Amino acid sequence: MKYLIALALLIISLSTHALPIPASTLYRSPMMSHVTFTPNGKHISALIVEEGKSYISLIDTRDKEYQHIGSFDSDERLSEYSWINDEVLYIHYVKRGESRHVLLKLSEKEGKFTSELVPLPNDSYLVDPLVDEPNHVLFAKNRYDGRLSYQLYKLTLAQLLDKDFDKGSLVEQKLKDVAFFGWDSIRKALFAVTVDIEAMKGEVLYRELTDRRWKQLFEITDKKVQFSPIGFIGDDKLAVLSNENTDKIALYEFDIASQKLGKLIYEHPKYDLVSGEVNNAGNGISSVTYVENGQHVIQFLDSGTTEGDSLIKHHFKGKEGVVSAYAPDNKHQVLFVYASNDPGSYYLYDQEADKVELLTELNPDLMAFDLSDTQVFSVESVPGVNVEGYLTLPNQQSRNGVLLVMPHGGPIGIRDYNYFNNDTQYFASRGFAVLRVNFRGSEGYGKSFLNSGKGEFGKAIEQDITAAVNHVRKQYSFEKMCAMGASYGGYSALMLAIKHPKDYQCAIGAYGVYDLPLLFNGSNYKVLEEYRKAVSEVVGELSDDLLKYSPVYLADKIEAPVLLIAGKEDRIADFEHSQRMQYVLEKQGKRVEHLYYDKTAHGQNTWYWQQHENAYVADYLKRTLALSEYHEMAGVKPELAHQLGYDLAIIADGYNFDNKVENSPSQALAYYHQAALAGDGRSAYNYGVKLVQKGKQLLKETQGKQTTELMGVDDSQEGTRLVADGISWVEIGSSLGYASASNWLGLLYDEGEEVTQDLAKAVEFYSAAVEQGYDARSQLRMGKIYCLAKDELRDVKRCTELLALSKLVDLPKKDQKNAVTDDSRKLLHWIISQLYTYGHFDAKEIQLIQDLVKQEYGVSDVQVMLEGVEAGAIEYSRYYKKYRIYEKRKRFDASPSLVLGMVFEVEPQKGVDQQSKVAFIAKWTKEDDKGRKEIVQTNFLWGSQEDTWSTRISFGDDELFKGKLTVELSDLNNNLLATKTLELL
Amino acid sequence: MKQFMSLLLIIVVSTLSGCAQRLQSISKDVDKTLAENSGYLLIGVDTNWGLHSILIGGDNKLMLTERDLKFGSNYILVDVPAGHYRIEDVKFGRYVYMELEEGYWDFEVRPNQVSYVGDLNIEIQGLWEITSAEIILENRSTKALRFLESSFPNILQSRQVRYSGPGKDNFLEFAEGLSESKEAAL
Repeated sequence: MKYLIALALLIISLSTHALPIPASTLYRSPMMSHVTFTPNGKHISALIVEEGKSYISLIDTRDKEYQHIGSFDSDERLSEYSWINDEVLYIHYVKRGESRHVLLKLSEKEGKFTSELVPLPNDSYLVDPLVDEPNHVLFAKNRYDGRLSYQLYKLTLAQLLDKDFDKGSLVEQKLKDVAFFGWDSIRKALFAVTVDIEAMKGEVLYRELTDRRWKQLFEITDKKVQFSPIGFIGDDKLAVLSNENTDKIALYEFDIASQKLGKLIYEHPKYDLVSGEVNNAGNGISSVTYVENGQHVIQFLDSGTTEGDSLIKHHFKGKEGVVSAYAPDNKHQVLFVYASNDPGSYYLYDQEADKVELLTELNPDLMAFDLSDTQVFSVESVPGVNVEGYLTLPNQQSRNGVLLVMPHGGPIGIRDYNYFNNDTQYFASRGFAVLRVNFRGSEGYGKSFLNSGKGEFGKAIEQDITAAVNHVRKQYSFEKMCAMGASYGGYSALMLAIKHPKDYQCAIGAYGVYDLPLLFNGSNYKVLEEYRKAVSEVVGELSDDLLKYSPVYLADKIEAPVLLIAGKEDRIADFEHSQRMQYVLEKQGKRVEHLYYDKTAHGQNTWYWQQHENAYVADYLKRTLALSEYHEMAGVKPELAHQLGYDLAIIADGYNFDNKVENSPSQALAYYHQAALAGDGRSAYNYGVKLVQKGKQLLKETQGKQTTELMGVDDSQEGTRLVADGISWVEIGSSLGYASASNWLGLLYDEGEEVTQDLAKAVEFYSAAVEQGYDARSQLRMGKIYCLAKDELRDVKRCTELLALSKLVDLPKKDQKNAVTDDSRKLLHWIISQLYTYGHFDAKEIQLIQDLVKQEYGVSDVQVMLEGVEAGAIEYSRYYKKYRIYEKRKRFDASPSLVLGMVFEVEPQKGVDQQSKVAFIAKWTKEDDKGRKEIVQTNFLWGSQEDTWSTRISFGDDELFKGKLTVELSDLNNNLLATKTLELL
Repeated sequence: MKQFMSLLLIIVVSTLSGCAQRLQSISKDVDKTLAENSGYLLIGVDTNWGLHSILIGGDNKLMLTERDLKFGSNYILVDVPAGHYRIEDVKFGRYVYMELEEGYWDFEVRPNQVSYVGDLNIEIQGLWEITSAEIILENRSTKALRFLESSFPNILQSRQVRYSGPGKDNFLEFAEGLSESKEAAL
């Protein structure tokens, strides 16, 4: 069991610095989410992420001890869960895009929970756990395959666990095309949404549970006005958010009978309302929410409901907060508290003691960093038009004098908020000042402000942004500026660089639109009238005038270097936009760089690729604006430098592996080098190995040839230098704790190919690899050295201890540092055959090895005889289900396709169990036409005596030879049991 | 138009039009003298399933054949009589095809120039047999232009390239102007 509070306190105890935050620390899942209380209020349940894995966990409200009751695989995502009672939890999750529904049955014994999973049909879901009717639930199940039309059941818990829908009562079966059933637990009313796809019509209906007749709440139409029901506030009255009669979105009563808006309940003088809450009595509104200064502000309308608000204000000065969950007895609450420089924390509030206790930060690792505040300001762009801006300044010590102007996407109906923002903090921590602007068209400032951004691409919108830029430049001095953004923000970034070429030193457009007429002509789908009409409303009518506001046709005015980022499967801002922009900039000799992602649409949808994209942008800014390395910023210690090196390693991996980024060996090499310099061990290893490969290739190419000399160094010398350089980088990787580097060096000195063989050094590196957590292969190879070394290293007892894989497997899970993989097992087979082939052991040592083989393979050392021994060309017979010799000749033409082998059977012995296992060693020796002998293959064979046995060999193009090939078969006592010789011509 | 096909819409027939002119993409970058009132048709086909054929109707009946419709991304450049055309059917196999809805797949081949009509993006679902397909004709003029620059520079030099797929787009004309102004500057 673990304690959330302990983890949080440990991290808080570290001092904070103005240091660059690694991408992997910022772009990650929150440690805790989906928080609620169990029905008995003794535990808090939540989704907890630990070391990248997600769990449903229970946290004891008394001691904050937590335990996992269910886990998710990496391809599974929790959608929602509900407690049906204290023992049964309903979970809806998504696996590879498909909805899954399960029940989790819990049992508790002495405070420890165990759980059992009960899968439910995929085309079903829990509508409501009906807390007022214990042991009953409302459950929906689709009636058809491939067509949406749910039926509604009322089931007992037992019926649900048994998936016995036939025994449940069918609450609704007549209503057709039901896409969704809902339940209002206050009014005890059922909601249904029906969708008639062919008629392009939808309805929202409701009825009492016991009533059979549905009443229409409203018809779903394509009206431009907002209409969002909040809930029932009377028998025939709904509370709805609408802007039908006002400029701003306000709260109204809605009369169901007349289908008309009634009394205005609340309108904010300045802001649109974004949500509201019906009170517990179901007869009024308890609160409304609007956005002010980028923060969601909850304004309570009823007395007695300001409790949560004042609670946050009282305990957390200067922060925002919400009550995330109430305990059933209302004595405890879970609070979520956040700010622009705080991603948020969960607290447990004890009402009786009026005490708050930290449960966990959303991202505990961020507590070690000094996060930047955001200033909110308002500026008059043109007379009568005020726009709101958010300026996030870096810490004074780390500032690099660059202002990043980051317009948001949309542009209509989207906005920036003054919440904690990953991108803002990522760049601010690297010394950049970040400016975001809610320009005309942004949501939350009224309908006329929103409409005033329409058709203002490259005009009023960029005017507003520039007004905000000028405003902050009057207050602070910046040496350089870069405009960057995604979607509309990408367009705007380039337009800013076009309109103010002297002001911007770079422009970064991601997933942007750069050719406005192309928005109307991107595909045969986009030329349709209804599509074009929708685009016209935002962009303006299709005409040649749009060319004057399209970066593609204004590229000659760009002076700043440009980075284009795009997804090749983007159908919102077609990839063609970025392609055109790149083409035109290149044709005009402008400095342009691109980062195009395969299998990516209008942005990244995984943390990993968000890390990649931001790491790349940060690197681009560094290169383009001639900034210093982030890992060399003041105060960066080696551990953080290593993590920042990982940012660069992600870029290198993009170029190195088959993934979303086009491979580039030279870029991979360059970025691994940079990452290695920052202290990333894996990169040092990758860089080193690549240098060795390059050096070996050069040496191979120059072998036996006269080499060309360049700058006093010939190719052969360069090859040798690269190999030596590479090895030293792998050594750095090993010293930085990267296990693969240590194992690689162990192999290098063990085999002595590029270096002089040095078994003591090999043991040293294998030993480091074991310590660093490499899989069991390092340990096995170390064992082999101890058995076969000819000097003081020889220690057969130690060797057999290290080769005992079963002992590793038997270790408790927490102590299993070196995984036993299939490759480890294969390696052990080979090592056993090597020991019997090359080892010289005394009787005691032989016994140790035989004991090891018995222990690992369960074989007996019973004396056996062979029969049916044949050798020749071998193949697998599907008919006989075994390998068989199909050519018994002694002479064969050497060829890479030729597979030679020997088959045999074990002769049954009287009094010996035929199913007991036995083992053999096969040794293949070649003798070339000059009489030189060499062992070319050894095999360890084991199995039941009844098995059919075989050993096989083949030669690649570069291994082919002419001469004799002999196979010898021995038992574990080194008795030669069979030998056959074949000839290769 | 983006066209979706469910299993039910896959039509099984014995034969399709047998009188269409079978086209074969030209492979040599030699700008031959075109027949009177003819032009080059340039179409991209990006498919995740090797196709049997694509039938084009209109002023003439044309057929792209499996030789040019292999898995992956391919451009097909052929000389055809000038005129108005439309993509009518995409055949996935000998007997299984998809009839495209009229009105969304029209293009024009203009005389003496290269008419780029778009990239036909075909995404087929199904492991052993086709269960659904999504087809869209996208304007990827830049990719098409880069294809001509690398594979048919001689034809590109002597012919105008224009977009003549759904909608109206003058980017290729603009790009041509860029190249000319660059050449003039040099």
